[in-house]
Amino acid sequence: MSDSLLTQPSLDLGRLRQAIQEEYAALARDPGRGYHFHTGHPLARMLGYHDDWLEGLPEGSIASFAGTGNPFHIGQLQPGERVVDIGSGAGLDSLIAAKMVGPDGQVIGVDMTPAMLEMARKSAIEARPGHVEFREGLAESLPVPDSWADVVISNGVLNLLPDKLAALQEMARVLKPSGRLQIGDILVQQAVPEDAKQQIDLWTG
Amino acid sequence: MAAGFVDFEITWQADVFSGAPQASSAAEFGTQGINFRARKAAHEEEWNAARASLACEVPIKLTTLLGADVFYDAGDKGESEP
Repeated sequence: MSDSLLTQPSLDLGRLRQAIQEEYAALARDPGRGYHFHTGHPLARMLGYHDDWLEGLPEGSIASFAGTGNPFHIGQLQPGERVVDIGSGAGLDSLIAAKMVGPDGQVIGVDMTPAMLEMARKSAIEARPGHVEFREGLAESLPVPDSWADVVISNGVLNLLPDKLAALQEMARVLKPSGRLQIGDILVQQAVPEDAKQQIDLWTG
Repeated sequence: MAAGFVDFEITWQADVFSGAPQASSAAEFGTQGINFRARKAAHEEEWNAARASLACEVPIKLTTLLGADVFYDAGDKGESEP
């Protein structure tokens, strides 16, 4: 990865995190409001989520889904695997992962937005998979032990983090040796000028 | 790839923002949705081997740089190339 991709822009991290939390709290409360990204069932179809993955999952988690890719399209998870979902949001990918790994597996979803954690936990109770939990935390300091996971998934989160190297190092820390990274995210096809990177609105909108 | 990962691959890429209810302020930079995968190196040796394979061979030889200085000095003195 080139240094330019890993350079941390000098913007107010606290303000950025607050703006992101506000955006995604709004999505948790009002998924139908209309955002600069697609949401819910139409987005899941667009990204190639199979109907049977969504079958039986709480509508709230599906409605507030706002991924930018499909971590499961890269490779389905295997029964018994341990999974960390970084930026788990309303919990859809964590619940799909829980289905795939089955009762012998384990899934930990991590998110920094209380409203999303509340929705994800509610959905987990409703879906009753029993082997998924949601923890409050940051991608740059995951509340997960070293070498715990077989797979780390994430969907539309890495692009929101100014310090991508710190997040990747955390992913490596929680993965077992030869553990897999399966990520949906965003790339830009044109370089973003340094002054533009200071604009909070560009990160969140 | 940074942070101890190997076998990085972008497996899918598409415009996932067109037609969204609101316009994105980042659209001018050509934002696209992607899927990518990578694998944590099994051990230090694999990681070091992956880093070595990515290392760029820069064809700079110390003697060439020294030679350039020699050319410069020679020019200053009105001498021909050594």
